Amino acid sequence: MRKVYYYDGTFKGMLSSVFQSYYLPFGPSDIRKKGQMGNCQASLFGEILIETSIEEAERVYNSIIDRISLKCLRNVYYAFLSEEKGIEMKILRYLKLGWTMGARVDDLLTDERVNDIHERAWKVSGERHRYLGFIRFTDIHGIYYAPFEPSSNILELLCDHFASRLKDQYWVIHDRKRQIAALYDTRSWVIRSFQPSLTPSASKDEVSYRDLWKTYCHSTWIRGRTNLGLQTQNMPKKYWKYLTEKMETSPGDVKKLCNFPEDTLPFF
Amino acid sequence: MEIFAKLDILSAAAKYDVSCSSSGSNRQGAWNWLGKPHISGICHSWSNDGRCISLLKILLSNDCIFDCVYCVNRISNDIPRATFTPREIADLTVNFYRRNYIEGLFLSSAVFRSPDQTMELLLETISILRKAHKFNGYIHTKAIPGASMDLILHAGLYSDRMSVNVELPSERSLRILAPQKNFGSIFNPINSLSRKIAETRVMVPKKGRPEYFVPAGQSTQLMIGASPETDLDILDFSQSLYRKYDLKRVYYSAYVPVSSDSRLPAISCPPLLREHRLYQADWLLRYYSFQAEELLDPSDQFLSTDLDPKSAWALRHPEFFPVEINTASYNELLRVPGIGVLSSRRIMRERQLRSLGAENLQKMGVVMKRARYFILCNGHRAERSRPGFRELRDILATSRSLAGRYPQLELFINHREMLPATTGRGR
Repeated sequence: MRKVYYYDGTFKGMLSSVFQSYYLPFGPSDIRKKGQMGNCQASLFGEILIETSIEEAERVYNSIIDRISLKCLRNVYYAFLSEEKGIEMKILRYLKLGWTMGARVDDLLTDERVNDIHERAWKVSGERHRYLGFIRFTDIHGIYYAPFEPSSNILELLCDHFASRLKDQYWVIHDRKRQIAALYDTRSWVIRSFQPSLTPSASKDEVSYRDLWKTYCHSTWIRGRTNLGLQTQNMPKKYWKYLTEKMETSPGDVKKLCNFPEDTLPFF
Repeated sequence: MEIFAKLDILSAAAKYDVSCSSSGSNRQGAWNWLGKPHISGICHSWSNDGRCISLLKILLSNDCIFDCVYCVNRISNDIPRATFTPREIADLTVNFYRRNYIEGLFLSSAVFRSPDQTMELLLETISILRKAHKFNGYIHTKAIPGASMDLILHAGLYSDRMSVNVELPSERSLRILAPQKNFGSIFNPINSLSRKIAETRVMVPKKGRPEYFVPAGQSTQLMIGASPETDLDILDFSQSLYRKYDLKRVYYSAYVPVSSDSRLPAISCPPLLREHRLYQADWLLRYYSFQAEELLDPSDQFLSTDLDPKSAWALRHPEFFPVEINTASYNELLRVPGIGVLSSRRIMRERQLRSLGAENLQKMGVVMKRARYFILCNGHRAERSRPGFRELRDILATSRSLAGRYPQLELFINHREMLPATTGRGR
């Protein structure tokens, strides 16, 4: 009977599952995150808990680079970050094809196995690019704080970008959906699980810069060309929640500055 | 004057400049510099008119000594005037940048007191940004026509992109609508900048970091609908700008009525659809290796409103089709309606591995609704039916979908009808 693999949800864990799948004659019937482990069907389907092994993960990792291509590894990683249900099996199919074809696998654009991964990777990198523009920092006593709620797990993909442009700034980018945050201390960044607890207060200039920005966005609008449909097409409403220029705030209302629900205020 | 009021006035005054891009620059800064440009540019927001906001686009001053008829800031217009100090702009830019509101600064100005004095102020602003604030983000600076070339070239050392707005695509229109400007004062800076850009590009750095001079190139803007030029005139003109001066972009700006002067056409709304068609044609010039003369000929000098320029070309050239997907060259693929740059590249890649059928094309992003009438896959037509010219024209026409995006279509005044009034005046 074909088994279902469960792994810890990390990329390394997934690579370990890929490694382990070669020890089963037909491979697993599915690869799932631990959180999705059912309880009642446990006895019906064979469930195997994959232990994340750095060594196994590295072997798969290096083998993708050596025998397929760096681009393929990137596609796999980006598709993985989409956190879509069932993505692991799609990655496994893609990799199997890759190991038989080598680097040319990425030219087989209309093959479902390849297209599945390309589409997901494209979506994730598209979302990343949007957030490079939509992240909004709030100056809270010298620490620049930006909350957001991406649909894919793109936090890590943003960090190098902001670390290279806002080098001398302490900043925090907070993924409120996954309760993790990237913290940067002017030298390097780390990602930690993050549940803010203390009350912040914005620096004194913050409110006026926010208002200046809103003034700017309002006065740059040419009335004769108004086209709200085009605006939402480029900037869908799901992004508006944390966009300074789309936020209703009364001056000095610190709680609303970062759009926190009343009870969960940050910080550190 | 309070900074809020200034920002309100001077960003409203700058909004008719359509250039928005923050791309093309990959300048590396020193380790302690603030910011870094992104090679493909980043849009940070979209304003209510659907245009993207990438740079803080402001005028240093709207207090103009010129009287260009089409411009809101002309001296004879009774509007509130304001002037920023260089420090105020630098401060605003850095603080917006630190909050990730913008990619950088787009700095322009009305001609304040004299062209030289204006250019000096612009130069001071960007040098404060680069030197005092160590700002390494994107800076787009406008060269003021008539300012000394030394000042303009000096500004190039601090800018990622520079532009001189041509605005009117013929000398005659310029004479009528902008009496204080002349073609020379506009083309001298364009010419000098393009030469210096080309020189710097081939220069080998002596040591360390290379020297930068306007690394993202030059752009300009043409106004559409304020003067009697035809689409062919305009495209011809853009093409020569691309070829002669190696411009990165020509922007087209539908004329938004800001004045009731009798030298200007009386229109109730900007000709947005015409602007849209010109942009499509401009893309064909830059990325699809079309020539302006192919898109339009002297017998019909305006782009069709209900057909996109590529479909219109395809309908006029039935002898070019059908194109065999599996053997056609890249440039031939690009000429098929419904196939773009991305899908052409994908076709080129995949057909090395296997021959492609019609069912594969859809997945590659080819718009089969249009492309199917123009292609062969392994010798087979993708579409059995052979529609006649009129039917095919109706299939390719996009008027219905565009009506939603350009709701003023019914009000749209035919630019052909509008011609006599302005030409008569010019004679």
